[in-house]
Order: sequence, then C-alpha cells, then structure tokens
Amino acid sequence: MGTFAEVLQSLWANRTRTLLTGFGVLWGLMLLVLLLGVGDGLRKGSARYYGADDPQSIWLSARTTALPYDGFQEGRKIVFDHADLNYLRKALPAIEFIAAENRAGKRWSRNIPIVHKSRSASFPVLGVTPDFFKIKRYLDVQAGRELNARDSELTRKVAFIGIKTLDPLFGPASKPAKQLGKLINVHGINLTVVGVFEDDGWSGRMSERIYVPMSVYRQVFGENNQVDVIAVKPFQSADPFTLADNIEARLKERHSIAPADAKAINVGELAESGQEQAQMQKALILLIWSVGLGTLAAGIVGIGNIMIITVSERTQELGIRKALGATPASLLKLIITEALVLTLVSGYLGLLAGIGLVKLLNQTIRESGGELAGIVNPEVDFSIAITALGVLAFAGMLAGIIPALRAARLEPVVAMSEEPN
Amino acid sequence: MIEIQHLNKTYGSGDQALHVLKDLSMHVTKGELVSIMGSSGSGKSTLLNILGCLDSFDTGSYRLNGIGVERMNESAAAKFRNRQLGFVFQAFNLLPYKNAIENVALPLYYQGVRRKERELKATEMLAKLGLGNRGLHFPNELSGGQKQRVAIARALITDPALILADEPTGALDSETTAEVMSLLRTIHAEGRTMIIVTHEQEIADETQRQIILRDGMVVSDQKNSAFPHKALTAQQ
Repeated sequence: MGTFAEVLQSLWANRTRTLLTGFGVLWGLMLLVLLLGVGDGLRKGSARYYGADDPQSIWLSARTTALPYDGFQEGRKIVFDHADLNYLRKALPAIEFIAAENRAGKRWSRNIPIVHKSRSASFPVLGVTPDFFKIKRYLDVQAGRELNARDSELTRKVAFIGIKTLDPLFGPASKPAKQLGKLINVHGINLTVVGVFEDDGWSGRMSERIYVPMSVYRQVFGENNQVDVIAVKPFQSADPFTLADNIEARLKERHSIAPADAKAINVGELAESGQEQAQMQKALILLIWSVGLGTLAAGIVGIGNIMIITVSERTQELGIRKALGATPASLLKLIITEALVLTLVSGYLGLLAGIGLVKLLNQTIRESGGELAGIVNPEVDFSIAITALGVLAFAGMLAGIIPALRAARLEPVVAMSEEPN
Repeated sequence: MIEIQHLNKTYGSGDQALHVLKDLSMHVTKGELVSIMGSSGSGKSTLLNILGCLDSFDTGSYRLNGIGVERMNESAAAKFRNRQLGFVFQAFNLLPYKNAIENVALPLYYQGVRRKERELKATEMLAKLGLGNRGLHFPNELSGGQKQRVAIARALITDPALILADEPTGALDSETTAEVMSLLRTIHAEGRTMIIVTHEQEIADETQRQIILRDGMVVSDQKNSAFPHKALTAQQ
C-alpha cells in the first residue's frame, strides 16, 4: 500500500506526462480491439458465404442431358437414387461423409404449409440422411439436437427446425428452448420438434428450413428412392477438386451421360467458389493483424520511451531517495509499479473503449440489415485483447526495468548533483 | 564513534588514476561537532561521501558506531544510511512534489513505518524546528532557510547516530546562514554527533574542532578554543 501511494503521488505530480502516456496506451489498445472486432466481422461475413456447409464440401444435383449418348437422346431427365450414394461411398475412398437431401414440393410450390394449433405458415421441408449434418456441420444449434441415425432407422416423427420458423408458427418472440417437444403438422402428419437451429446461409434464408429424417420424408412425400441432392465431404487430406471430378465421372458412367455433357449434373464445389474468397479473407486478416501488431508495437515503444524519460528526469529524486535509505530493490519496485499502474489502468480503459466501439458498430450493422461492407456481427475475442494488454504491461515493465536498474546503480551523490532544486 | 584507519581512495586507473584520499585516518568521538575544510580537490567531498556510505573506498577501514561498513552491499548500505545517518545538503534536495511533512517522513517510509505514524512524527519534528505551520507547504512555497530546516528535520527524523552536512549554508544569505548554524548547534547541544563540510571559515569557527584537508591528507586537526564560550541561542 505504501508503494502504491508513492506511485499515485508521483503519477499525479507528473500528470501531463501521465495523461499523455496513458492516452497513448488507451488509444493503441482501443484501435487494436476495434481492428480485432472488424476482423471478426469480416471473418463471419465471409463464413456466411459458406453458410453452415463444410468449406470443402461438394453438392451435386441432377438436371437434364444436353448431349445424346449411348443410344439416348438429349433432354433426358436424370434422377439420382440411393444406390448412387452406396456406390460412390464404396468406390471412392476420399469420401468421408456422403448424404442425401430431398426437398418437398413441385417446382412452383416448393414451400409446404405447416400447422401448429391455430397458426400456419409455409416453409421448405427437407428430408435428409443422417450424415447430412456432418457436411452441413456449422449449423448453430440453438436448442435441442440435430437429427441422428436412430431417427432415420426408427422413422421417428421428429423435426429439426430453423429459427425463422418460430415466430410464424409459435407466436412472436418465441424462445427456441421453449418449442422443444411441440408438435407441428406437415401434410397431416404430426412431427415433434427436437431441435432449433440458426443457419447464416443464403443471408439467413437457410434458417427457414425444416429438416426431417429421410425415412419420415418418404412416408410423407413418397418419391421412393429418388435423391435430389447428393452432398459429399472429402477427407481433410483429400483434394476436393479431384474428388468432385471423380464423382461426376462415376455418376455420368452410371447414368449413361456423355463425358462432355456439362449440363446433366450440376456440381457445386464450395472449395472452388470459396477459394478466391478465402484468399481475400486471408489477406484482410493478415492486414488487420499487421496493423494491430503495429499499433501494439508503437504502444510498446511509446511506453518504453516514456519510462526511459521518466527515469532520467528523476535521476535526482532517485538519488535523494537512495541517500535517505531506499534500497535498489525498492527503487525498482517503485518504477515498475508506476509503469504497471499506468499501462494497466489506461490499457483497461482502452479495452473498454474498444469494446464499446465494437458494440456500437455491431448495433449499427444490425440496424442497417445485418451486413455492412462485408462485416457481420463483429465481436471481440476478449482473451486476445487481454493478452495484448498483458504484452503491453509487460513491455512497459521491461522498458522501465532497464533505466531503473541503471538508476538503482547510480551513485547517489552523482544523481543528486544533477541540478539543485 | 567514527574510526577511520589508513583510508585510500583512487578514481580511475593507470595514467588517469587520481589518488583522492591518501592513507587518511581520523577519529570523531560521540557528541562532537566537527568541521572539515579544504579547497576543491582536497578530497573533502569524497571523504563525506565515504562517511555517508554513499561511496566505496579501496583500502583501509571505516567503523561507525562500532559497525564496519567496508563489506556492506548496496542494500545493507541503504539500510545503514537510513538508520544511522542523517544528511543535510547544500541544495536541500527536497522532493518537489511532496509537502514538508511528506518530505520529512520519507526516511520513515523506508523503515516501513505506517503512514499515520510517520506523518505524526514528521509534524512533531517540524514543530520542534519552528515550522509547525508550514507542514502542508511544498518546497517551492518555502524560503531557502525554511527549506533547509525541512531538510534538517528530515535528517533528524530517524534519530541517526551521525549528522552529515555538506555545505549546509552554501545556498543561503548571511542572515539565514546564522539561523541555520544556530539551529545546527542547538541540535548538537542536544547530544548529536555532527560533521559539517564547508569552505567558509566563519562556519568552521562555529564548530568544536576543525579538520583541514589538502591533497587527500589531514594537514590540520585542531580544537576550536572559542567554541564552548559562544552563546547558544536556539532558533525558534
């Protein structure tokens, strides 16, 4: 406590310098936090591009042929089935997960009316096989659980519903957790809600979906063995482009499609469309980090500088203190505590200011529709900000130690003779 | 009280070496008021620094109050200064951002005395030296003589065995010089051992014993016959 009072008195005695240094630290940390927040928002903005899908995933859907082949005319409609999935899984070891997605409804009525008590609304209903959620793996489960293999095996009448279906079905401001166990009616069949998710994909429209187990989907909508979309996640070690080419070739072979036919199968490779985006994002994040670290470095140099000035300006005082009985250790303690108090207090204020600014930015973005210049929901990784503060404080301490050691070794007589007061 | 035997101190080395103190020996008994005189370069400042444990020496021995100081490390020397020595400087050397009470209390801070207690003691000491109404003033609000009295209070606060004064009146006018010297003599009269380094004969004339240094050696060490007869008037 004694040292602390001494430190406060000395900081107050040099309040202009204290204020300027403190402001430097505050400003540096505030900018760093703001940059981290913007970086986070940019990362989320580009993650939204993938939605909840694995960034390496491959999505295939069947269309109509554009070329005649193997005795068939062009314009033939291709339909995938479950045998294709089983075949691909066995034939191509680069596949980690493969799943089927079927969407209910015909071309002009793709949304299915859903009823809960007196309310009703129309939403896309999709039947999926169990591994589907290992490919669409970044769904934010807000309550309950995803669909699993047992649901399909036992044909459980369950539904995994998007967060945007809640208000129309259950009334305004419905809490996700409160809807678990409730019944929704699809084409006369009651399904129990087992989970609620949020999916950023398609600017949030993915959150309007209702997923049901494939076996249940078949009971409700028929369609036999047909598969609308095949989703594949390659092993991390595998090259997604080669795998996509292989899958396409195998499917063309199985369905007698001309190898040169570019229209019969639509192949969506997230890795491909994401590549440019990913590079852009990497560059941006690199930029943010280099600016952030630059700011931090400037802060460190600033504190170091001030500490050196502080000590040399106070050579006489330190000499007097020594003559009066201050040990070298107590002088070190005094100067280091001073550096620490200054950096920690102003750094903490900088953190608060930065967090406040990021929150303000977040609010502004939310009010303007959820996205601004590719920034989405910016948040601060608090542990990184605290680490930055720690680094700064440590640097300030270190910068104080070197001149303080010199001062502690200085002969009191020499120190005091600097100039009379 | 002070026993210095065959003290040698050299600054630098080789051709640059400066032999400042040459086989210097001196003794001061408890309760003495001694002045050390000499021109600049005589070694008197170096001797004062060694006496004050502010500087080291090469050979010889120095015992203060029965304690040998030659083997002390920096921390031990700092504690020794704090407990055994009180300094009065020409330039006062008060901390500008501390008021009189805080300046006087500073040596007690380094003894780990609690804030309340040390400020109480400092207030009492200032009152004793006639500065009872100046406790909350900062050094720049005090006259030269008041500053030096605050510095003297600071030197006395730890009840040290020895007071070392380095040109204590060097920055003061003649009237204030008389006040400060009168105060120092009062303090001496209370039984303290005091060494005053000066180059002014009038100051030396007010001490019991005059030691004159030249070229790092004691060339004269005489009792001041006039001393005890001079009237002591406490400066209030």
